[in-house]
Amino acid sequence: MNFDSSNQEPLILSRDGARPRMDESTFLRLRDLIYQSSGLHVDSKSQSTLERRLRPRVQALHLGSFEQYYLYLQFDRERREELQRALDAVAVHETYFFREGRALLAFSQEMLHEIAKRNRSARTLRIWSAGCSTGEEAYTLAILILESGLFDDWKIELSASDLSQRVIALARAGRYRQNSFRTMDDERRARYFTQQSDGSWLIDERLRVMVNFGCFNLADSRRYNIYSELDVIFCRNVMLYFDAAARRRTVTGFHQQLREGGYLILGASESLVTLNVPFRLSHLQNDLVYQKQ
Amino acid sequence: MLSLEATLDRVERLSQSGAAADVRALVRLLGSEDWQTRRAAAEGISSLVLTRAEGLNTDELFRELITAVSDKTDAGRRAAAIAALEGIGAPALPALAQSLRDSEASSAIALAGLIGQVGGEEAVTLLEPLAESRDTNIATSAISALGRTRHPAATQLLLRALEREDEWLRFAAVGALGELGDARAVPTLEKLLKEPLMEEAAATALEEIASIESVTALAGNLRDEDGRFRPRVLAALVSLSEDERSLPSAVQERLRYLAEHLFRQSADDATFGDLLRLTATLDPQLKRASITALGWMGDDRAVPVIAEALADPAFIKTARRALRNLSGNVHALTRMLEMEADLIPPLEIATAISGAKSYQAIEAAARLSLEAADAETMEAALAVLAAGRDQLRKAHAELLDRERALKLAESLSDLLSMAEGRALVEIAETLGLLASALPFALMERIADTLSQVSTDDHLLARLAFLDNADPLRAVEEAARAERHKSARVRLSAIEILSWRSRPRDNASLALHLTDEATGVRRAAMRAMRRGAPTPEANRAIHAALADEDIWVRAEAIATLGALFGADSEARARLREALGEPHPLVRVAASEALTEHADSKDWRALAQTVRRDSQPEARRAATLAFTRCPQPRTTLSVARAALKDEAWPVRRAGVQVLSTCLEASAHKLLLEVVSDEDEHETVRGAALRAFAPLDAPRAVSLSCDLISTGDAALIEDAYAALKSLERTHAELMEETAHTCAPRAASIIKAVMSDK
Repeated sequence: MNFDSSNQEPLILSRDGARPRMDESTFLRLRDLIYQSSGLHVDSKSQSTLERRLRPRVQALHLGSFEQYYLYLQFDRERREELQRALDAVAVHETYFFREGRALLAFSQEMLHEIAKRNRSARTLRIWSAGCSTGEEAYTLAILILESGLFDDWKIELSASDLSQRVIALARAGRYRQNSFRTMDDERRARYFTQQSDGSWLIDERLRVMVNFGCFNLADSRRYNIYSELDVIFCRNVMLYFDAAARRRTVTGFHQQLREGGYLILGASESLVTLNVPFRLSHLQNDLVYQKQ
Repeated sequence: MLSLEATLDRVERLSQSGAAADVRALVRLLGSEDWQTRRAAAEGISSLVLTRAEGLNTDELFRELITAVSDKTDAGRRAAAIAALEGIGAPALPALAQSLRDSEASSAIALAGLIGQVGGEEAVTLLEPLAESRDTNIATSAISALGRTRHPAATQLLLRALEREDEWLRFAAVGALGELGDARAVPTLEKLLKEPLMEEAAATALEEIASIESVTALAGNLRDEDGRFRPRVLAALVSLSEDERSLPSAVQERLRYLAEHLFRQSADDATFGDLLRLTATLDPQLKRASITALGWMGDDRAVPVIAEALADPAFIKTARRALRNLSGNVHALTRMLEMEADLIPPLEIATAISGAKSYQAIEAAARLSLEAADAETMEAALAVLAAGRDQLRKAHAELLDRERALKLAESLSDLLSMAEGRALVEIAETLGLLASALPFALMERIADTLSQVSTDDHLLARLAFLDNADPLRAVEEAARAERHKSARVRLSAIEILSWRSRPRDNASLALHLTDEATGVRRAAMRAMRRGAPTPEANRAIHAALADEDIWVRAEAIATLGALFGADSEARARLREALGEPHPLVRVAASEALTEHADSKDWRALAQTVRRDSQPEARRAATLAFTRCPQPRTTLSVARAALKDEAWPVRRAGVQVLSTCLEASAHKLLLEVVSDEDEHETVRGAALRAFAPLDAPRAVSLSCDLISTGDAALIEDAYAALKSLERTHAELMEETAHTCAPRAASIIKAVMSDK
């Protein structure tokens, strides 16, 4: 029964006993809704994780069950906004500056030099950080571009996107706590950030204006044309949460928006091996990266 | 030159026709320069054969495909032809067998791989002579292919191949035994662990077999005969137990538990040092294994090492699991809490203790909720507190460890003065559940602490505490809080009153239907369902049906059904609601009508199943028929639901069928299970429903579904087998001897899963 219609409870019953639980059928439908709207794949063993992450939303909306929450996401006037919140709760947003250093070395010491040569007549550099979360990766790339000294007076289009409006707002604000700097040296932090009275660090305005943040759903293949003629796409540790079909669709979208020879950078534990997509593995000195054929 | 889109459209058109010219065009497209075209053409050809397209000359088609498989000049065409033949599967076997007889070595190698992929007994028969070929390349290819046949007859042939002198063939056989997954090979593979050259391959094969036998074999060989630690064996054991595999979650959990248990049993003083040294390795697989094993050991000295691994994305997942294992150790958890947030972020600790069922985890979660600097950490900590409360609730008052409960209560009550917001409320709620272990003075002190500050949160916390600690007092205070200025407090008071007090006259609840907060109005309407079906309630419900908030209206419909469902006038109103514009009301009406429905109601519900524009409304109406006493109507509705375009409706149709006793219902269930194009959750549900009706067929179907490798289907197959374990043990044991080895392992796991 979806709407709690029981009227047979004992007189004294723990109210906590009424804490909403997610049944199998609701889990399957919520999972499908999440997949259809974002490409995020919640595997069949993750029912309790999904329950834990969405329970605050069920409680915040004063709904009696997860079933009602599913119906809310389907039919309520606020469903679109709520779906954003649900996806935000489900997605993993963990990131930090200078994460996975080998790929960044390959970017700063090899790719940027090659692009500087290749694009010297057009003098444009186009990069997309797809699934940027709270912006640490995008600002890291901005730092590396700035430090390279190769692109002064160039037109730099450094775009960063995420599914979640909440994390994009945080990225735009550019204010970070210590945990985001776990692999960034103090000297760099002092150069590009200013410590605030609450202990957080605010990003330098030079870097903040270099990045154009926006909300983008990687599952929505109709919108990929927003980004085009890209030199590099960073999409690290994002597709880990997609199934093979969604991964294939996303990578095909990336392929279309890259220039010939453009690079696709995935997370250290990700690969395109099983996807049968037209990227070749390029053996750079610092890392293995994918390149558009 | 056609654009890619136009080419793909053309491929699709060609794939609908069995005409000779069109099929030839498709075969030509296997050699296209574009990979998407090649893939579409291969899929089109497979589909033509499997749907038995009219006029299709399969002999000619197979000949052309097999020729393409041998094309040495075009790797793309070759791969596409192989993909097409793999897609066709068993129907291609006779043609493949024929071509094997007169093919040259390089073709035989490619064909062997294909035959293995198709699988089954016939494939094993075809591969047997090739596996014994004197040409090492052909034999290697056939031996590897035997591993992919999913047939138990392959095991003996592979064990025989291990007796050959050629090391290359032996390696291939070990790999194939792993891929085949037959636990009967474990004793032989265990012996091979002792051969230095074979150690790694045998360990990997045991890992892939992923059975109780292989866990035991690996755990028993963590040191060699001279007592030296064997990292590769450990890596296999860890990977077997921790990595995601195509196994039912219950089996996976059992293997994980067994691996950890056996590892701990075998660990000695030297093990910690061995593992610590291994964390410095550059081999990521070995490093992962060492981190996991450190977690298994539960030694608090491992905390800093694991914290360091948390900072490395390549090891973060492993480190989290290790942290979770370590958090079961009191000293290790204390050490984690003492470490700087930079080294172990509080979110990681909260996540690590999320599965812990201990007083210490509850206390740690309460502390973390006070210190949480971000919403995610707060949610994770509160989730642990909630899980802790579930545990406390399950343990009856007399089973509480009074000494530890008292200690926990004292710690939590100290935290109350520092807590605010949700943390305050949830800590107070937790304290309420410890009440039976508390001296009266402490209880009063807690209640007083919560009265000293007059914020809404403190009042909510006091209500939450009393709700569990002293329900009668909670009811008294809730009655006063019912008129509080804060909607949150009013809502909580209504909930307490409706759950804790005797059925109310509903008149006072009706007054809340004018509340400006929709949440309160909804709660009042929900609470009314637990009250008496008085005329006042009836009037209030009808008033709520005109509420501007759709959720209040939906709750009112549900309450009308719950309190007055037996009344024909109320049911007429509910039938009317089936036609209301908002789907939420229609969903609620279907559910509300079910319990007391008469033939008029069933007709209205059947119409909703067939005609409603919203899948959710159709689903709810379909589910109503699980309680319909009219077999013909029920069957007819289930048939309609199974044709629905939305899978949740079809799944509901399966649920309805599971309540039907008619043979035609059983036939329909079987059709759903066997339909490969059906959504996996619908097929799985059908299998579970079908299992008690025809056990032999259900066991066989379960084995087939396990072989698909689909995680959801495997879970359902496991559930189906589990439901038959007691009544059909003999049948299952017999099947385990003849079915695919991986399915046999799962059957054995079900049988031994007491």
